[in-house]
Amino acid sequence: MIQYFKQAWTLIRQEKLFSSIYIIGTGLSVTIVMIVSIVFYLKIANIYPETHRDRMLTVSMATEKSTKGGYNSSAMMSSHVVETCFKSLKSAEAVTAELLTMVMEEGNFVQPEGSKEQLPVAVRHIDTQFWTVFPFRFVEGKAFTEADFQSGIPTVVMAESLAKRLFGSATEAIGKQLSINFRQFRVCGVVKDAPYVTRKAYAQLWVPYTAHSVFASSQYSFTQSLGFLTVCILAPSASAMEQVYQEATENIQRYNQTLTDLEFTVNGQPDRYWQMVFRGLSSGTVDFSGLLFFYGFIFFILLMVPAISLSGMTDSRIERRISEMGVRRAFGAPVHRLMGQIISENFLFTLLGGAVGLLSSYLLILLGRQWITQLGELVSMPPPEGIEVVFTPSMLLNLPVLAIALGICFLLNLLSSLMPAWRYSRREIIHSLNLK
Amino acid sequence: MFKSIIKQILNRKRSNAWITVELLLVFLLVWYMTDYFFALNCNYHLPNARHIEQTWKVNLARFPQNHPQYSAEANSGEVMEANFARILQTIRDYPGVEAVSVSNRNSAPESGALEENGYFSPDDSTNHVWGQLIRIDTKEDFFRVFGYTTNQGKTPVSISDFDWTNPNGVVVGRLVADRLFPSGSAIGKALNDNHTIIGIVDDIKRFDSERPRTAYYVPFRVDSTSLRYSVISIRSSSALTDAAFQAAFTAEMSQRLQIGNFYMQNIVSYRKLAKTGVFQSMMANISKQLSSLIVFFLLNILLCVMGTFWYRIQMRRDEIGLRKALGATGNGIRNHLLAEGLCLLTIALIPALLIEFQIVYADLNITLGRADDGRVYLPDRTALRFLITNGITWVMMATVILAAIWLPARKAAALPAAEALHYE
Repeated sequence: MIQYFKQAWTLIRQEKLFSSIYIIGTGLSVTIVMIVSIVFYLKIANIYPETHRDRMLTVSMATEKSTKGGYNSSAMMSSHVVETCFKSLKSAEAVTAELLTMVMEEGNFVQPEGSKEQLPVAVRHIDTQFWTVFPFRFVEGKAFTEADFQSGIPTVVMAESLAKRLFGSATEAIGKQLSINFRQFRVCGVVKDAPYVTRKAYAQLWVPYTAHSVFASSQYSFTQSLGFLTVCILAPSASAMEQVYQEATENIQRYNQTLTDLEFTVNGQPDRYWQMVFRGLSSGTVDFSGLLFFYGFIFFILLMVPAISLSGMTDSRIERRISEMGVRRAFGAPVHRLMGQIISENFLFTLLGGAVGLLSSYLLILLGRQWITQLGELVSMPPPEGIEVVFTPSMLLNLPVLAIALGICFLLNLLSSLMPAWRYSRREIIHSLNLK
Repeated sequence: MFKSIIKQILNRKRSNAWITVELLLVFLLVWYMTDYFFALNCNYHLPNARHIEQTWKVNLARFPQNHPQYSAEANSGEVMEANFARILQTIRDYPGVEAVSVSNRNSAPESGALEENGYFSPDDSTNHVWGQLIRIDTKEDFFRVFGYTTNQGKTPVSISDFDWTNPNGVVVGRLVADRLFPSGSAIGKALNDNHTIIGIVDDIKRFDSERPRTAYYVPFRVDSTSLRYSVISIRSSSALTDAAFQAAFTAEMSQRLQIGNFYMQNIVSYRKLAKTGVFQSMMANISKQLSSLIVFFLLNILLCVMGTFWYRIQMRRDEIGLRKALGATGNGIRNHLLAEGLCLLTIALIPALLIEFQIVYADLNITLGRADDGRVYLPDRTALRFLITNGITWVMMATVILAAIWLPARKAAALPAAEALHYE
């Protein structure tokens, strides 16, 4: 094996131009596949503060329709439904509800003291269970208490970066008053920033939803079932998710029996986290196997196009060494050993290409960070203005990502060298020898 | 020359098979995406009677009840309406503002919301024409703010061009008029049971990537209950840059527009909303992903062809030397190699066209905004579109192939005959 690698290394040095074309070719395909893999990793794997994505279930849009036909309405859920169907789940470790108001408001603004300019901010309206489902790291202070939440006290938890910008430091911020949409909120805690890719947890300010003006108003619920709440459920373990799903489905069935002439459905939710990512903004049922097939097909194409072009190049490269193979076979080398040599030689090329590809994929991800997380999504929102998308090193450089990179190299190598290796190593010795 | 190229391609059919399969696969993929972009680009170039350059959306909000400046008195209907009128007047008086309009929130450009209604002529109640319902305050000038035109873009329109004394008056888009009243003028004609067409404006596109669509403009009464669904839009003076206007307006008006319980949050240009809206950013996102794919596939072709030809030339040095010795020039040898590449592309083109034909036949191409409204645009002429998109794809691929062969071919052409013959 070492011998083969040495030989391959000599070959690379002998044919610099060809080798670099081949390595760049491999690097190119590894780059694109790595970008896709890393982006989906960022979307789906456990990342602070969504460290429990693997045992999280979500419900966003629900539908209410008349059993007699005609009426059909989709929106988020009312607090009545959230209490009866989800907050009551016995098999869940924690259930958090969030008030989504973007439907009603253009945006949220902070009025910094002594400044005319208003600052656009990302605000989440949440309950206390939120801090269990998403284990944020508190830099200073604490989350608002259950008592604060119940009485709708205007308190706010801030992201560290915003605290520094507005008050100078996290410590300074604690206990200060902050004007959000011309209402005063008391800062009770400062947390380490959540990256923009953690779509369920990301914000700059987190306030109890009971403090939102809409909560007290009559529009808080459209109907008995529909309103402004979405739900995140934390199962005690990944294997318990099925049980939580079953219980939630039963709860919804039971709830439906209390309705007259109406049917309430969550369209196959609660979703696993990855399902939520693929669901997008859809309020209907989603054909997940169709979606997986679609993404699988694209992934296959992304791998096949470079594999064929690399096969062609490998083919040419080996062709030049047919005579060498002829000699080796004439001296008794078996077919499988020659094949092994070609494949392992090729693996060195692919590994080098893989390294090039990994580096360039990091470079492209960092350069395109404002856009790259929208990759692979149809309906996706670009980050709001003034929001920098930040990737920490641990988000990019970690074991799963490296394993994926190595796996792709291996697959690509097999795809591109198996056919030529098989063909040339089985060639009649006479023909091979004759070529020189 | 052609004969000898074919012969040489056949001689190396193994290695050429790889390239051909790769060319075929990439040709199909690139063609499909080119076709999508072609249809999309045609839509972008269709005229739009609505011009959103230098237009702004003024975002107003109201103080919450527990705010110290909140006044219960200012929350009563009459006072609120009066305060809103004062806000409009203040904006109108601002020197950089050319026109002001108030409309229903869903009727503002780039909002993403869509309210539709169907109308028919009493003469033919079977012919319902559905269209976007655009509800505008007729006391303000919606048409001037958004630079509407009539007579195929020749005449600019103002709200005062139409007689709004009839509360059931409707201004329609040209497409509506043509479809409801194909013969004769639509102005003054009745719609449904009690509406009357009072004017015609040119057609608008809801989004830049779509085709012109049917639209109805109806009066929208702004009062204390409908205020929360209204939006103020303004046109800034063309003498000012967007950045300058936005900065100056925000600085001066933030304080002055705090009237009653209203306050101004910010102003956003419609040009920017056209980029950040859900649908618009989805379109941009798809375009970005598809064009990255095209670049990726073409790069693959570049490397594949370059690598294979480089090797091929290394192995054919003896042949090249022989030809040189027999009087071939460097240019001749280079052209021969380039022609060999184009020949391969043409061979791949034949099965590609057959497969593409199946795709077109099964109607799997994407044509955005195709509607059965009697208008035929360039992407609807299937044969012509097939020809154009294949032509574009062929040129793109050929350019990449020529670029890929250029470098190794130049090297081969520069090879001295004696040295090349040495390999023989």
